[in-house]
Amino acid sequence: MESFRSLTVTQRDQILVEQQVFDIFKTFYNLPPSSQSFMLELQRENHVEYLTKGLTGLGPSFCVLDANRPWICYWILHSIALLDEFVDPELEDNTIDFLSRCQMPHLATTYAAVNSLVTLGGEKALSSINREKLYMFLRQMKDASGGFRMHDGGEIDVRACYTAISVASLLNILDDELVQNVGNYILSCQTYEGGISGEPGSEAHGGYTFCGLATMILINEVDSLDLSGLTDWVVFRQGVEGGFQGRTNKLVDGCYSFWQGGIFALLKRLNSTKEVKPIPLGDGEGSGEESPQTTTSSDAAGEEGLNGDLSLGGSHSEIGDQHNTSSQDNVIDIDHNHSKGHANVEPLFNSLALQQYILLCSQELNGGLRDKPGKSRDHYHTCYCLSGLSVCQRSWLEDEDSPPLPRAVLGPYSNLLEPIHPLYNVVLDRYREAYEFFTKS
Amino acid sequence: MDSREDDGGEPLSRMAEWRDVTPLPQDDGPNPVVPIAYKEEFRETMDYFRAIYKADERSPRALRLTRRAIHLNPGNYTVWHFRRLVLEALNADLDEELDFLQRIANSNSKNYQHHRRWVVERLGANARAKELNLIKKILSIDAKNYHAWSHRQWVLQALGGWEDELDYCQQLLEEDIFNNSAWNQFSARHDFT
Repeated sequence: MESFRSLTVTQRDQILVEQQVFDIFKTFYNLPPSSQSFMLELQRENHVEYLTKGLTGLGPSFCVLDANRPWICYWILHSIALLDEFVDPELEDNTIDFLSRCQMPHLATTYAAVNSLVTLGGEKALSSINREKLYMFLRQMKDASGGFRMHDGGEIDVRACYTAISVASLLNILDDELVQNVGNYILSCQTYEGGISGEPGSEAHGGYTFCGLATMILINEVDSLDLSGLTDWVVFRQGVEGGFQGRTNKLVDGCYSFWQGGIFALLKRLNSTKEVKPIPLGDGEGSGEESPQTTTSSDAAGEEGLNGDLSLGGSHSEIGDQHNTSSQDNVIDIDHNHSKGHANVEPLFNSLALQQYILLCSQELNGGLRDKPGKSRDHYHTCYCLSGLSVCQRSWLEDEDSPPLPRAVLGPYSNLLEPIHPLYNVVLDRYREAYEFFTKS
Repeated sequence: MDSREDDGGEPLSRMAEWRDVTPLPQDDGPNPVVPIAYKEEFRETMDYFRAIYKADERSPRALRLTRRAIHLNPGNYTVWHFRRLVLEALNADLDEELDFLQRIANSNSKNYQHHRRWVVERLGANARAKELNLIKKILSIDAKNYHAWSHRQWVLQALGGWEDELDYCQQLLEEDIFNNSAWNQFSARHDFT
């Protein structure tokens, strides 16, 4: 056994985190079942309280986020929506008013503002978005090379591309002018590892991989990516802790529950619109019809609490009907998938293990979620841990809209969060409302 | 160090130099959401900045004001952008600007990065050794710093130096074979040259 001193920085940092995480898990496993149930509960009320407080006041240490206040808005509003709660009408009005005053045009804050307004929903919020002005701004931010810059004179990167394309798509103002050459730029950011970097040449990174993949899907050029390389990379980003790391050999972080976890939601949709059946796992049973294909092993994981093995078992990977086309609309427009019924697929990542990390390591019992044990809660991590949790809970479903089986939800079924649209990360119902609104007008 | 740039943090309202300026408060509307309880110094600085920005005053005192605002909030991209406009208008010494940026190199913000690239580009090949050494210093503290590595690649692309990069990667990997950023740099070497 090597002495601690001869380990590299990477190893040392990793071991320290593992120790903390495994201590938590060990403590958990030694608890009586009733205490275990409590530990796995999502502290809904406390989270909502933490979130609502955030909307109405922040202390001086938040000064540095001044230029990013629309972000805080989005993180909080989206989290509240995931918990299926509502913001009181007065606060809602104030938020809409505030967002319309965001004077400085910047792509990231535009994305946050638009997503916030879509999350709030309703006539007032949605009609407050000036699409003409926004379209002009997007055209201005478009670079000759194909990418987008974050703001006038700002940097071009994959995140800027995503925020621009996501907003344009959501508001139904996406056109050839905006789309051209974006695909080439993103392609140039896929690295030898298979993931996608922020700029050409940089390291493959979970946040940018999500942004790159989502953008390619939105512009219908996803087939030019090396998808198997990308999948290969992302599956190995899930660590022994259950959570995801952002880059190879870096530490686990709760926010990657969404950035990396969301990639699986996107890949799942892609695989379901392509006329390719995934390889059946386990005994390959199942008629392939639209019957509720539940696992025949009915394993204990969902029902008795965790007893070590977190895998759900894999005998139900059939997909129902073929889709009639592979047009990109099938991937974006979730209602096309509606006919799937209760067909299930086997997720490519360990969904229960990730849920365990989120609930036991990221969750703060008095409200809010965080990167990892030892770090403080914040609104950003609250948003993305919860978004990741939502993705996990529905990771067996073909149709993200159907209610998941109890065994797919770690802890009590009341932990179930609202489903999201994985391309935009807004709650599905709100997406639908916005879709209707911006298609009609 | 240019002492004219260092105003010691005295309240602007008490400085003779700023007497002719009416500070512009932030317009959040009557019912602000996610309001931040600003520290007085921050609030005041930004109020004065808003006034100067609105008047588009590209003067030496405007330059000093942007530096003050950057110290308080390096995340505000408008301030960075305006600083650049002022530097251009004043035809300022960019070597001094680079020194200033090196002194505040702990600021991790992406805005800083972008501003820095603009300065380095203007200075050209002479800035290369300085920049690469500075980035080395940052990486010696945080060997996987994403922005530092991106910036390093940018410098190498813009100003050359890839020939020596192999040795640097090797050194980093001898220290920590698991440093994936170094592996990535190793691989990127081929993509760029």
